[in-house]
Amino acid sequence: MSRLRLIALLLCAALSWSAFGPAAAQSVRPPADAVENAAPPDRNAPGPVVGDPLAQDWRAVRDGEAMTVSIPDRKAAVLVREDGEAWRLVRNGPLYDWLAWALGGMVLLLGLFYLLRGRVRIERGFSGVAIERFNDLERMAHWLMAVSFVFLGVSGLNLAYGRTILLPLIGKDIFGPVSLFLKTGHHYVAFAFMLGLIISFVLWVAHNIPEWRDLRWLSIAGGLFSKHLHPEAKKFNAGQKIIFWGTTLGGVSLFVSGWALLFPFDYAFFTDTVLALRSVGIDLPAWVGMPEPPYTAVQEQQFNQIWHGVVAVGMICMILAHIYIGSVGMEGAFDAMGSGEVDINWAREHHSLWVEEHVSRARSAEDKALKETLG
Amino acid sequence: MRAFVASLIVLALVVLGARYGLQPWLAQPAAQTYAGDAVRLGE
Repeated sequence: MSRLRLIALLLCAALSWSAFGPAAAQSVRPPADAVENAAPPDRNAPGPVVGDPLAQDWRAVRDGEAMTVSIPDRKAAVLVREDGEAWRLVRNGPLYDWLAWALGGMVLLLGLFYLLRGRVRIERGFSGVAIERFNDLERMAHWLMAVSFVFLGVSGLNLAYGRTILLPLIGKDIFGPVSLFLKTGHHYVAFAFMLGLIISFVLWVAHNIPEWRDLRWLSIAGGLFSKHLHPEAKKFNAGQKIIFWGTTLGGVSLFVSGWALLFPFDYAFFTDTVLALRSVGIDLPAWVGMPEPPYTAVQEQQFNQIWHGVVAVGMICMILAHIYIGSVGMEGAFDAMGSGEVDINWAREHHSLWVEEHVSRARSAEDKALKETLG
Repeated sequence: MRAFVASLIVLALVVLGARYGLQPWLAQPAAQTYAGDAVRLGE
């Protein structure tokens, strides 16, 4: 056990140094001759004289006209992009405002639920008899996802809100290296999250197929608002199935959009998706006010960035509720992922059908063993 | 605890693998953006 911990510590230390150390920092520095504090674009400057060739050039640049470049990156031929400014205003304005409201709203809701309902207790109390709920592999996959998701969430939120919230608190000398570490780590930790997601999907998908009894569970909100109501459920109840599919689909969507952000301008996911949806009668641009496809490589990046942020915050809100109910919100729930064993009274109240299956499997195994012993 | 520590080990290994495995590809966009002379106006 102690050897495992030592290996983990050594790996983490090596990881921090080699993955996010000085070598990783070099590539993000602007070139020495980079222009700093350039004046904002002005449609009328320079050259106020009508017919001035310099003024004409500037007007063409300001209108987004493509020039000629001798470097591999042809996008550099357009110096000023109107849609880039529009995207920046949406991202730094309403988008980040709405996402902040969503996160704050979820925290307030959970706080309110705790104040009104309190901790969901085991009605019959702890029995002292425990049964295995999740084995080592299941818990390893869960914690792999959990640890990487927390890192991804914190580092992603720092990209969006760090400059507003964290920078004034800790100052730029600390904020800079911390942000660089988080941003670089975000790229690589995403792969660990995906590994955890794939393992969990394989292990749990069979238990998460929606059933009719899930509607009954949902119709009474799983009995969370009543102290004596315990709707029947198998290994996963309807709420956990929502978390499972939300995490799976959201995780894949985040990985795809994140991949496109990691390797910019190589993919046209939004053009492909919008055209595919249109072929089945869903006209997304008309519904949400998007421009018409096909999109330029830069527009694809803008949509990827917005989509990545929206889905990520949606998932963070969902996982906040999951963390709450799996820890302070419900007595006995944490043991499922802590030790892997839960009290049988807790299991009977929240997963009654699963307990019956578990007990009946154990009895048939005992009967079989007894018959073999007796010959 | 055993499962949690195992998850940290796997996390570290995957991150290290991604860090060194992706490096050649991650360097490309930066090379494109900062390479050579930039733009000639009016052509």
